[in-house]
Amino acid sequence: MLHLPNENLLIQKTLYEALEKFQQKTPIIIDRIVTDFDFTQYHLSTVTIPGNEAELDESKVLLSYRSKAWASLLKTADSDVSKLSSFILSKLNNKFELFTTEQSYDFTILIDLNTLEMGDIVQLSLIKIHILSYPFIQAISEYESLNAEVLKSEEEGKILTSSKIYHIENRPNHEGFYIIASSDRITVIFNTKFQDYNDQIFGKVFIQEFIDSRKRNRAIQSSPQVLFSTMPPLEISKSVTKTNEDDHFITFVLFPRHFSNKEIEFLSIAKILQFRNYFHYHIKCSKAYLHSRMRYRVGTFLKVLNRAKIEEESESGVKKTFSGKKMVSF
Amino acid sequence: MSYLNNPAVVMDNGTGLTKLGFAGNDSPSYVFPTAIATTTGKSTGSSTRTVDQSFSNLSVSDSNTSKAYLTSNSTSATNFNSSATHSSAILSNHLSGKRGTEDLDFYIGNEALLASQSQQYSLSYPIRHGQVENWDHMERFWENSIFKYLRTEPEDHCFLLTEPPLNPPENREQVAEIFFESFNCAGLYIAVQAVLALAASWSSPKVTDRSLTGTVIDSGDGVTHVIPVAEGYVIGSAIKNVPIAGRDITNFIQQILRDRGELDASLKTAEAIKQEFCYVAPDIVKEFNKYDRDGSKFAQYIVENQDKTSRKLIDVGYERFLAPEIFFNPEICSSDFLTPLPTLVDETIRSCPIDVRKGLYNNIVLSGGSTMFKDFGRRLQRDVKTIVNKRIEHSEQLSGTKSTGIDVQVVSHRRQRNAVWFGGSLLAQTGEFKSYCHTKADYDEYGPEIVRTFSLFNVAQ
Repeated sequence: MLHLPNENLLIQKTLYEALEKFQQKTPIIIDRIVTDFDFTQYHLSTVTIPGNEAELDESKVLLSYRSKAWASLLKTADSDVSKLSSFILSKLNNKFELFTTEQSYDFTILIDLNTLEMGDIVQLSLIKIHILSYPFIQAISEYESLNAEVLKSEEEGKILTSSKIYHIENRPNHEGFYIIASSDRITVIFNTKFQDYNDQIFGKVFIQEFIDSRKRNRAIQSSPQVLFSTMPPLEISKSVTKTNEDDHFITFVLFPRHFSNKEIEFLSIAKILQFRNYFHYHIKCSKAYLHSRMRYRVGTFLKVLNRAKIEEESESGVKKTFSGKKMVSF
Repeated sequence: MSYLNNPAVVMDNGTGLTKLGFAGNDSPSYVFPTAIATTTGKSTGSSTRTVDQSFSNLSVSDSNTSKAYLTSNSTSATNFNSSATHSSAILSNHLSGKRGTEDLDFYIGNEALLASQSQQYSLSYPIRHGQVENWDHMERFWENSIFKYLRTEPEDHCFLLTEPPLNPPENREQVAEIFFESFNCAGLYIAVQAVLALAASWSSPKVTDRSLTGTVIDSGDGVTHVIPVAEGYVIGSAIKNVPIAGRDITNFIQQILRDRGELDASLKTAEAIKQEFCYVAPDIVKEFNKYDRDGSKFAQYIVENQDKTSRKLIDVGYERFLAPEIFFNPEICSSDFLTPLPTLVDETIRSCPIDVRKGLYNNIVLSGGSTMFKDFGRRLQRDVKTIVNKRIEHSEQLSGTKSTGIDVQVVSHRRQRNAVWFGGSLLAQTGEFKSYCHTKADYDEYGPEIVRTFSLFNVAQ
């Protein structure tokens, strides 16, 4: 369990069960809440037949999505919902249709069990990554146009940077990430906070290790460059107005090789999007490891304590009978 | 702020099975064994490969238990192994290279059962008799179930955990230390399983007053408990155990199959027959006669092998009603424990304070998989009623006065199998739940002893 899986196991399991039961002609009615990291929530439910609310159409399932990131995601899509939703549907190979958005959710799609395949289930379980990859794809296309411009101008060492900063706020207290496209790279800057003072210390050790391991090992030179600061980096200093003491900025620099083809592009985006969760997960794992060492230490101390006995006072003056009773003389 | 309405996580870690899920759902999202497979030695490239292979073989063959994780199983195994060999090769000048990451090389639940079939992993069950024995393993079990299976950031969710009755308060403190210090969880509530089972019975149409007074009969795989609860508090001194539960019924069926010389008398077959065919009969002598007169009562169970090439027909006969009968007449299978369940229920209630006894008789609630037999509740109600009425009659004769009588009622409902989890889900989805949780701030202020008390909450509607 070194890595967190990209896909949501529970969506996968639920849809798999529904599909299997449906194919066995014993369809089940589902109505489940599923969550994901960063205030993401899904609702999987069987569709009611239009016009007859009491009856359910067991062959169709709704998947509703809502997350904290949706508002800022819409902003990057010029507040155009149809643009965003057509992007998401295309990511799911256009196999599903949009449905009337369920109340208190952001996005709802209709899944038809008659045409659902195993591959689709995997794609649906990755829906969070697909949705959040929108600003990344935008940034990549921006990089491409900037790169073409630089090539055209034939000026040596010229670097163009886009003025547009994609800002996704996926957690409360302004935690989130920024994406900036340049003509030779894409910069992703995370702003993360720690609830606990101890976590902050762990976090610093971790990030230091992230930065150092790239310097020390030639073998992993192809990984993105990582930088860390407690002040907002220059790229975003204009858009970050207020900073607190507990703000931590982690910068990843993605080079063209990190999005050279669709597969690598997806992997890079998925890894970057999971970064915050991975990071906080490992802080927790280290604490668990420390706890187990501490328990072990206490256990050995207890062993020593149990072995120690108070020496009995010598009772040479008192005579004892054979059975161990004291002889008392009057 | 709608995004803050994250559902609470409900976790019921039992001796055998763990139920995980979110409040508001009507059934747990995951039910898997409370098992963890940890590495026994240093991994090498070649041995990891064999693990991989056995993994894929197993996941194909053992399809009914792990089909849902089929894809995830194989990917997580390969992911992990490739990165493990990677890190030991490259990161040799790092802390992680020196120490290794053994503490993260483990599996839980069904994946643990699969992994333990190879030499590399050893299986252990961190919970014994309802109580946590190995805190190291339990902490990692929770870590994996929260992050990998439920995919939640514990800082954003409240947690409802369960504990067995008579759990020492030190154990509660340990749980609090893990949840607040390792996981920084937003809020924690620890509830007694029996109380949650009572809450789950509110879903039954029979229950009208939503009280937290009643007798809970909790029968799982290993042991059956009879637990009286008054106003939400367990009467610890009156709890009684029956050493007869699901496993004994399965063994009893298996024994009958063997005695009769059936073609297949494996534990798996016996288990399937128990779940599919068994029911509780009102009177065994009459039931025997019925079977002898009417051949249609006998059933047949078909055992198919993996490739569905060969079929075996197993006859199912008297064991259909004899097996659950061991609750009511234990002498047919056990020689050392002879008290029938109805008698034990009556004894339990009579050892409780007199003020609550009526309430306890009035609301006998079933929970756990071994109470799922058809007509189990009806039979129990009739038997307890007979015992009680006989005693009332006797005392009426002695005193010469008329008694007002005692109303015995056994409540069974559809959520019985995961009653404890369902009760937790029911309570945790209410708006007030968060205010009853202890928060991280409280913990930092007062220390772990804060979890020794939780205020009871009742959803009055």
